[in-house]
Amino acid sequence: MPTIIIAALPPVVRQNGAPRVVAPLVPMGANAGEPNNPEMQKAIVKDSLAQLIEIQTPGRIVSLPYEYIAEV
Amino acid sequence: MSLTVVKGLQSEIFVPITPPVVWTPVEKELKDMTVALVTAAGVHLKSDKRFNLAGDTSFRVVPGDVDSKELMVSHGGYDNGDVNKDINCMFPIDRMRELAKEGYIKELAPVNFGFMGGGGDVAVFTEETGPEIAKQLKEEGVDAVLLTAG
Repeated sequence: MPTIIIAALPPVVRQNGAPRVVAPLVPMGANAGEPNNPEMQKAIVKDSLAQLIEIQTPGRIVSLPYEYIAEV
Repeated sequence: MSLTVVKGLQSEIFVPITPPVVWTPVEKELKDMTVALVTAAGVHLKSDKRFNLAGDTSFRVVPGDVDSKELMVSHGGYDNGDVNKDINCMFPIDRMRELAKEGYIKELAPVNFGFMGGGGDVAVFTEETGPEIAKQLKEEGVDAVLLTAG
């Protein structure tokens, strides 16, 4: 069945042969966006699902315009 | 001139092999799709057995109607700080339900899956865990999957 993956580390996902990839600017562990930021999370999920339809080239990686930098 | 000195000699250096992309075309519009969440982030119910952090090829089922407060993560391969604050940043189950309510997708799948990525026995993941998850998703009539990993 068709899939889309939200990746924090797009090169890793590419190497595993993922068919459709979106990559917001997020750290590993917050792929779907900043914790307790439902607006950002929803936008990332919505855009990811849109790319499930949009991407026509196997292995394509699409950047998403959202950024979250974790305070470590 | 032949450069082969020892026949059948193999490199000791492990070279990762990128598998060919498996491409399944989309056949429905989003508004008509049942979409499942599947994650390698080690998400499971608090009442479930935790993953073995040293390597674990098993998976856990997350029902589509679960309260997200009943979910947790056990995964030794990344900083769990953010998911411990809000599971939705790795497993956006509440966001998926909101999008279903708005009609953006038809529904969140009745079954969703968590397993622990980041290494382990890749052959078992590829030949057993993955196909079993795919089989269960198909049995539940899932049309597409949103994954988080990597």
